[in-house]
Amino acid sequence: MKNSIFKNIRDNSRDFNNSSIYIACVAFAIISGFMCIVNIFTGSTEMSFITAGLSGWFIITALFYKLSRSSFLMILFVDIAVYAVMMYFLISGGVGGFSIVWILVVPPIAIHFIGLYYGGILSILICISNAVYLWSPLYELGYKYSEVYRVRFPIVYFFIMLVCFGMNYSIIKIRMRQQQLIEEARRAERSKSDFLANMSHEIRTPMNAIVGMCELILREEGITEAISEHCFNIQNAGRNLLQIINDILDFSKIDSGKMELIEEEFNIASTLNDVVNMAMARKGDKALEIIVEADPDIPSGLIADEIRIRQVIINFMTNAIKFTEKGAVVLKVSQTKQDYGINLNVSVIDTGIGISPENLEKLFTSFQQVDTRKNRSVEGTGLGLAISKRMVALMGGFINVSSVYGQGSEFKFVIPMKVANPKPFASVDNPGSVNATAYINLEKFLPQVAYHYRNLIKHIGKQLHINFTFCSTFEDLKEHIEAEKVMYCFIGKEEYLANKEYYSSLSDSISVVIIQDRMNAVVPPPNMKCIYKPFYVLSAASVLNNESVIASITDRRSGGISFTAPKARILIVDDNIINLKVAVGLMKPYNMQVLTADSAKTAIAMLRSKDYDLVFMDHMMPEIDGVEATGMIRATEGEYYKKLPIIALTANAINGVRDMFINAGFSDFMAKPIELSTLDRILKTWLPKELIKSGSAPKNIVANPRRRKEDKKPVDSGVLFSPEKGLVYTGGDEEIYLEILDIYVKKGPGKIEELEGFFHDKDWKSYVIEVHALKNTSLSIGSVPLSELAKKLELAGKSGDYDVIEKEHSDLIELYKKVIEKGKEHLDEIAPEPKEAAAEVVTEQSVMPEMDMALLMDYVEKISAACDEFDGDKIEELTEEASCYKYQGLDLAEYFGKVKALALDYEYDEAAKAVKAIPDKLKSGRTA
Amino acid sequence: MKTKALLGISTDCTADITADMLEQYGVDVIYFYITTETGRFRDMDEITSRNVIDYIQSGKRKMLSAPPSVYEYEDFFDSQIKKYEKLIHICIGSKISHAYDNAVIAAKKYEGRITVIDSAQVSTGIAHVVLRACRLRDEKKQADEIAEALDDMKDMVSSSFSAESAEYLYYNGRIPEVAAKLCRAFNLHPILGVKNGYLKLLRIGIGNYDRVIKKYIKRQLSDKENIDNDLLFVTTAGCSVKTLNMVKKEIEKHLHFKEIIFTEASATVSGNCGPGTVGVLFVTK
Repeated sequence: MKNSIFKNIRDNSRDFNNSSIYIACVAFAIISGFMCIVNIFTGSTEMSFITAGLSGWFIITALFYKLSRSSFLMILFVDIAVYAVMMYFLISGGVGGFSIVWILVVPPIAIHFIGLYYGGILSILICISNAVYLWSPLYELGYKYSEVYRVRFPIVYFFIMLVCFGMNYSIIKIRMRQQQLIEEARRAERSKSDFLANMSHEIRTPMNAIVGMCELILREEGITEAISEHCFNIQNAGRNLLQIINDILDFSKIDSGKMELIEEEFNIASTLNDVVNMAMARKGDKALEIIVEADPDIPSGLIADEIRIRQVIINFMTNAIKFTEKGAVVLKVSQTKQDYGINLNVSVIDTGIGISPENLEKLFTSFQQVDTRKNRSVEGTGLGLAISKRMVALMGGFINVSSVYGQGSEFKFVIPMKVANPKPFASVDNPGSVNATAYINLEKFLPQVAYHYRNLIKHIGKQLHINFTFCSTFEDLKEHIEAEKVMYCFIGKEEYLANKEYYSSLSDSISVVIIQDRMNAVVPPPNMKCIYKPFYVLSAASVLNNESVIASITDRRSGGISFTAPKARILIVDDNIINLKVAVGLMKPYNMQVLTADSAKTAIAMLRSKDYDLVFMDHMMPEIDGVEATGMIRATEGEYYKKLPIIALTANAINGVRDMFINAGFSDFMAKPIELSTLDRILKTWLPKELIKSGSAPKNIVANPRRRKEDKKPVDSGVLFSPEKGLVYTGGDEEIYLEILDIYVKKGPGKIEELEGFFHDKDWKSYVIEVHALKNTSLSIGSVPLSELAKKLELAGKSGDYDVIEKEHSDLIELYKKVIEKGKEHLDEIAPEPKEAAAEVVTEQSVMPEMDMALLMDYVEKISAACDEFDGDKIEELTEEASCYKYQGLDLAEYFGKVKALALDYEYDEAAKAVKAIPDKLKSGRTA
Repeated sequence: MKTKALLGISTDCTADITADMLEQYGVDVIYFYITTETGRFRDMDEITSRNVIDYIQSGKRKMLSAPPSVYEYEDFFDSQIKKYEKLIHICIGSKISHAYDNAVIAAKKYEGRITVIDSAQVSTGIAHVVLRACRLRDEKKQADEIAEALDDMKDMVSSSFSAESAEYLYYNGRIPEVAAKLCRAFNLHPILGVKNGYLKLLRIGIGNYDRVIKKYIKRQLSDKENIDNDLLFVTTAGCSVKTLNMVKKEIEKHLHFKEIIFTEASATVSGNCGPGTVGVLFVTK
C-alpha cells in the first residue's frame, strides 16, 4: 500500500504547466532585476546582490528550459532557487524585517504550482533544514527571532506541510477517480455502440427476409388485391421498425461524432416522389390535404446525401401529419442560386396544434415530445427532430421552426449543395402553347387550405411558364373553356362526380384529368386521365408532356425497373439460403444470369473462370468471411480480379462500415434489407454499360401454387415437421419451399457430421455458427422444435454455457435426423414438376466451371509439391478447389477426391503419384 | 393590365421587421448574407439568430455577414420598379455597414426613381424609420417629402442593446481577446448604442445579467417626457421566454407604450452581440 501511495503521488502529480512556470521564471527574473535596481538606488547593497543573483538565476533557468526543453531541469533550478532564498531568509534572520512565517507559504505554493512530487520534495527539504537549523546549535548563526518561534516553528511548518500534502493527495485521488470514470464512460459508450451494432445486425437480418419476401410476393402475378394490401402493410410495418432501429443507430452515431455522409448525385424529383408516397400512406383516411409546392427549376442533378435529406423531410412530414387532424400539410421546396451551386430550401407547414413558445425552446432535445399529456396518443420515440437538426448541421445547413399555438407550425431547413446537372427537374415541352385550367371547389376546404391550393395553381402556371387558370365555380369553368382554347382541364373527384356527363363529353375535345385520392378512387372513363394527389409540378408536367402517370397501388409498390441486363453474369455469395433466395428474387426483373455460392471458398473457386461481371459478397460468413475473401480475390494475379466490382452485403450498421469495406477492397456496399432503389443504383453504377439495356423485363415470375386441398392442415408449432409452416415462412411459394427442403435434406447428413466433429473437438465457435444456421434453415422448412433447440444451443454456446450443449447435443442430432427423414418423405410424396423457364437461378452445384489444361497442370504441380512437404492442409485446400471444376465434361471431384483421401491417410507418396497421373487419365478418358 | 402603385417602400432585412408587419405595410426586404464554412445564406430567411448563436457555440467561428452586392441591389430594384413608379429604400446606417453605398450605386441607373435613405440606425431602429415612411406614403406624400422627413427623424430614434457577453464582439474582431476575457472574468456586460450613426459602447453593466437588463431598461426609459410612447420595439437574440417576460414586466413598470412589439434580431446583429442580447428601441419626441 505504501508503494501504491508513493506510486500514485509520483505518477499523478507531475502535472505542472511548463509554460506557466517558464513565464513565472521570466517574470521573477524581471521583478528581481527591477528590485535590484531599486536596491542600488536605495543603497541596500546586500539586497541588490541578492536580487541580482536571483534575477540572474531565473534568467539562466528560463534559458535552460528554452534550449533544452527539459522540464525536470527547470523545476530543479526553481527548487534550488526557492530553497536557497528560504534558507538565506532563515539564517539571516528574515532579511530586512520580513517575518519568519513567510517560510510557511512554501508548502502550499510550491505544491500548488509545481505539483505534489517536486513541491513536496522542496517542502520536505525545507522542513528538515528548518528543524536542523533551529533545533541545533547552528541557530546561533544569524537567527534573530524569539525563542518561542525557534522551538515551535519547525513543528508548525511540519503540520502545515502535512495538511498541504493531505489536501493535494485528495485532489490527486479525485482526479484519478475522475479519469477512471471517464474511462468507464468511454468503455460504456463503446459497449453501447457495439451492442447497438450487434443488435441492429440481429434485427436487420430477419427483417431482410420479411421485407424482401414481401417484395417478392408483391411481384407475383395472380395475387388478390387483399393479399397485396396485407403484404404491403407488413412491408410497411417492417420498414417502420427498421426506421426506428435506424433512428436509434443514427442518434448513437451522431452522439459519438461518427455519422458519415455519402454525397452522391441525386434527382430531387425522386426524393419528392418517395416523400410524397410516404406522406399519402401515413395520412391514411385523415381529413387532411397534402399539398406540394416545388420549384421545377431546381436542378435535376444535385450532389448531397440524398438519404439523409429524405430522412429529414420524412421526419418533418411525419410529425406534421401526426399532429394535424384536419386542414393541410404543405411541403414547399425551393432554391436560391449561389456560386457553389444552390441552397435547397425545404419547409413543411401544417394547420395542426402548434407549439407554445416554452416548448419551442426544447423542441430539438432528444427523447422528448412536447406537450406530452396532450400528445399521449401520438407515437414516436422523440428522436426524429434531434437527429434531423444534427444531420442538417452536418450537411452545413440550418433548421428553423416557427409556430402559433393552436394554429399550426412551420418546420424548415436549408442545405447548401453543388449542382451536377443544371437541367430543371420538371419542365413542359412547348410551354408557350399550353393552355390549362383547373377547377376545385375550395369552399369544402378550410380557409388556409383553400389559400394554399390557390397559390399552388398560380405557382404551377408561373413556374412551368404555361397559361394555367384557376376557376372557383363550375360556371366559371364552363365560361372559360368556351372562351379560351383550353387544352387541359384538371378537376377534383367531387367536381367530376357532380357533372359527370359534362366532363365525359368535354373529354372528347380536350384532355380532362381527374385529381383524386387513392382511397375510394373512381375509375375514370377510358378517354379521361387520372392522377393521384398530391397534384404538383411533377404530376402536372407529366400530364402536360403526355407521359403516363397513372399508377395503381401494385404498380407503384413493385417499383419501376428501368433496364435489363440479359448478358450480365452476377454472383451472389451468402451462407444463408434465405438471403440468397431473397437476393435472387429481387434481381429477377433485371433478367440477368444470377449464380449463387454459399461460401467464400466456393465463390473464389468459381471466380477463377473470370466469367462474372459483378459479385455481391455477404460480410459475415463462417470460415472465410467476405472481407477476407475479397482480399484473396484482389490478391489474385490479373487485371480482372483487381477491377471486378465486388459489392459488400451487410446487415451490420456499425460506424465507419462504408470506409471499412472500401479499404478492404470492396467497390461499394449495400445494406440488408436490400432497398430496391439502392440495388438499382448499384447495378447501374457497376455493371458494364454495354450490358445494360433500357426498358423493363418481361414478367417471368410464375406463381405455381400446387397445394392440394387434402394438404391443408392446421399449423401446429409443436409438430416436428410442418410443410405448411415452412410455406408460410417462404412466402407461400411451394416451388421455392421444395427447393429449400431439397437442399436441406441433401446437405443434412453432411451437416450432422460437421456438428458431431465440432462437438467432439469442443470447437464451440464453429459449433455455434452451425447451430445458428440450423436454427434459421429448420424454421424455413417448417421444423419449429428443431429450430428452437438449435437456438437454445446457440445461446448456450454464445454465453459459454457448454454444459447445456453437452447435455442436449445428442437430442439435437436425433431430432435433426428425424426432420431430415420427414423431409425426404415429404419430397417423395410430392413429385417435383419441371421448372418453367424464368430468369436463370443457378446454384454452385449445377454450374461447374471448365478447367483448361494449363490450370490443371498448375494444380497438379502445387498438390505434388505439397505432398513432398507432407502438408496435409495444403493438399486438402487445393484438392477441394480443384474439385469444383470440370475438364472436358468430366467431374474433377472424382479424381482429386481420391488424392485428398490418400493425403488424409498420410499416404503422401501415393497421393503424389495419384495426382501426377490425373492429366493422362483425363486425356485418355479413363475414370479416376 | 395591372397598374403600378405610385410609391413603394423597401428596406434591408437588418430592420428586423416581422413577416406579418412586412405584409401588413406592404414593405419588401432585401436580404443580407451570412457566409459560413459551407455556404452562403440569406439572413432572416435561411438563417436566423438562433442558428448563428448555435453555430458559434458549436465551436465554429468562421461566419461573415455581408450586405447585398451592387448587382444584388440592382436585381432587387429591378423587381421593385416593376411594381412601383418610385421607390424609397431605407438602409442600415452607412457608418455601420456599406450596404448604403452599394444601394446608392445600384440606384443610379434608375434615373431618380429610387431614393436610398441612410437610416443611421440598426435593427428595429431602422424599422421605426420604415414605419414612419409607410405612414407618410399612406398620407400620399411625395418621395422627396418623405426623404426629408426621414432625414429629420434620424437623430430621434434611440437604438441600444445590452449584450450578455463580449465574446461575440471579440469573435467579430470588434474588441481584442484580452478585453473579452476581462469582461468574462469580472462579469461585465457591454451596453451598445447608436450615436451619430456609429454603433458604440455606451457603458458597461456589472454583475448579475438580469439586474443589468433591468437597470438598462430603467435608464433607457428614464426620460419619459421625451419618449414617443406609440410604439416600442424590443429586439432580442437568443433570449428565453422567461427573460422576455421579465423584460416586458420591467418596461411596463417604467413607461406604458401603446404597442410593444417583440422581434428577433437578424443573424447579422445576433452574430455580433450574441445570445441574451436585449434591445429597446423607440422614437424620441
